[in-house]
Amino acid sequence: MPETVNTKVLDKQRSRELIRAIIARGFRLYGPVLDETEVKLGEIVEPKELNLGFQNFEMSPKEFFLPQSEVLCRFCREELVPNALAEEEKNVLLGIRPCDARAIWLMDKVFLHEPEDFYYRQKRENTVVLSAACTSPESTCFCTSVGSSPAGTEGADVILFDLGESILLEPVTSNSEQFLNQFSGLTREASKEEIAQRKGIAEDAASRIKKIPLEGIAERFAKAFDSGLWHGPSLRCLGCGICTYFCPTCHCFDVTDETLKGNGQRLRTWDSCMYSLFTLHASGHNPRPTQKERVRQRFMHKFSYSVENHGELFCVGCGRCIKHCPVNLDLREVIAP
Amino acid sequence: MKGNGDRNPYIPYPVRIEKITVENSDRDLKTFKLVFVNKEDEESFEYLPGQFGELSVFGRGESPVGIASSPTEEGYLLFTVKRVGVVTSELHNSEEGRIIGVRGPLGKPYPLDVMEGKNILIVGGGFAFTTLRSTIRYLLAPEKRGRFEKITAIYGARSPGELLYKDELQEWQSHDGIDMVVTVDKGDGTWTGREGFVPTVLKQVAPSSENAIALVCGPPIMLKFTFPVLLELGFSPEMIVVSLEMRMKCGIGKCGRCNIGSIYVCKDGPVFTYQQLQSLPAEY
Repeated sequence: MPETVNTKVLDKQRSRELIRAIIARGFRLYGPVLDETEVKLGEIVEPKELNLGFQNFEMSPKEFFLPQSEVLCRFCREELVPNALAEEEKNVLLGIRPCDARAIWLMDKVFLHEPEDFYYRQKRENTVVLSAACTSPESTCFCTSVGSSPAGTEGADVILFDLGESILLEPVTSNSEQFLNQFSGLTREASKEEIAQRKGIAEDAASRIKKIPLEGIAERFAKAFDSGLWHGPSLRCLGCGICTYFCPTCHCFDVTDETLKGNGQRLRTWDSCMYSLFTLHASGHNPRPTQKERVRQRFMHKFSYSVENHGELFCVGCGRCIKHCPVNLDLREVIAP
Repeated sequence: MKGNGDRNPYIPYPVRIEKITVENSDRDLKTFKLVFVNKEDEESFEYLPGQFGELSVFGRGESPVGIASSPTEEGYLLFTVKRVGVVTSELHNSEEGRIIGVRGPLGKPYPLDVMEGKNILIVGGGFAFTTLRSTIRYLLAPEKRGRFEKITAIYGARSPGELLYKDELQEWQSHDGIDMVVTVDKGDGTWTGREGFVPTVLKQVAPSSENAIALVCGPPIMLKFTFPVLLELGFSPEMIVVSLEMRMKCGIGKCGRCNIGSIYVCKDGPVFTYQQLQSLPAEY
């Protein structure tokens, strides 16, 4: 990152003021909220001291752009009811980790690709993403193996670095300087020392993450399609789909209608390629009849097909699927050469 | 938004069921003639043979169905629907006049530009004949017919009662512009036509592969035995075109359901060449 970037510094004592100022500018602010033991993405309505010291959000913030359940249209009996125009709500997403920001950048490749997804685009355009560099990676993290890093900037407008007593704000996208300028009264220019400190933080966190050599994995998996590689994992897999729900890049969905007394709505809801119903034809034919094909699909989609279609792995190394799998299926063991 | 104006691709166009025709003796195949409620919607629904639409019954859901009408037939759309699930059963229970929804056109059509100047062989089986009906209508339209050479069509069903579009089949059998061969797996007392499975009949008819392209649509078992016959007749894998069926939801390449290998059947297909098919995992 060239040092000419207009990097700012905010003293932590003033973080309450920044939060107040963001809200006062008409943004809805979403950030880390401690809920008993979990850190959740929640709306921040009261100014508070900004705490970036947590490891990561329990759930990935994908639900912000692709809610678990979302209305596509409403109808009354046989007639479509015009969609109420979504309020031009401006949002700030604060403190999400670079791995999760990268996941948004990856989802953009699907949802902002022609024909653009109307609902996704609306939220994406009205949201400023302020990510926060990761300082304490977990044992399940492997972001540096899949193209991400503790200070990666894909998907973020501004990236924040926790310098201890202060927070460094580094603009990423061209719009972000304009955003930061609105709060220039609260920040000051970063010093050379602070920028050096930022580098140290990024390098230190990265050095603590184990690397898996994944060069050429797309080709390796393409060749392994009919191999025994999927046998072991699929025998253990319960098909519960939790990996896909926690995954920040899994985006498959179902579309269903529900009605109550003639009024109804069409919803899209997260779905999972781990379920047999996902591909079951009405005729009874199922192109992916056993868990072996389904497990293989998840791996092939993320590590081979996506590379062919988008030039990127659809995994950001957040490790949530590893942490939450009820049978301890460790994705790293499957993808390692 | 770019492309399709500012239109939200998830919102269906309202259409009125103008006419319902029962197609077969099992009475589980009906053709729905749909008319757009808004004239401007009809104008934006510009389609070609081989594309499909998502039929929408509000409160029940959506179902992807191939378009059976041809764009040369103006003022309406035709969809032949088999009664199998929630949405299709509700459609079958509908009365004429009901308002339903349609999204589309979706997917890629048959490669009309490649077909131009060639002999066309059409091979269809069972109720998968719908988009091939669209194609035949299109090719035989007076303003289009001159763009294509000899047209041969082979269509088969289980029994005479299961043949779709019976009146049109008769019309085409005596039409100069097309060599129409109709067969059934097994005839009944009144059947005087051909008997035999589609691949067998294809072998008997043996259309030339010279400057020819084959369009194939039918049940998996028919496809399995048809491809070797076509290859034997000298059709190259890139001159064999097939339309795939797959479970779908969004129809625009987002929901992930119809993904096979690096393609999405809804947006990269449903029309593929046999050559493309061979490079895909056999997950269809």
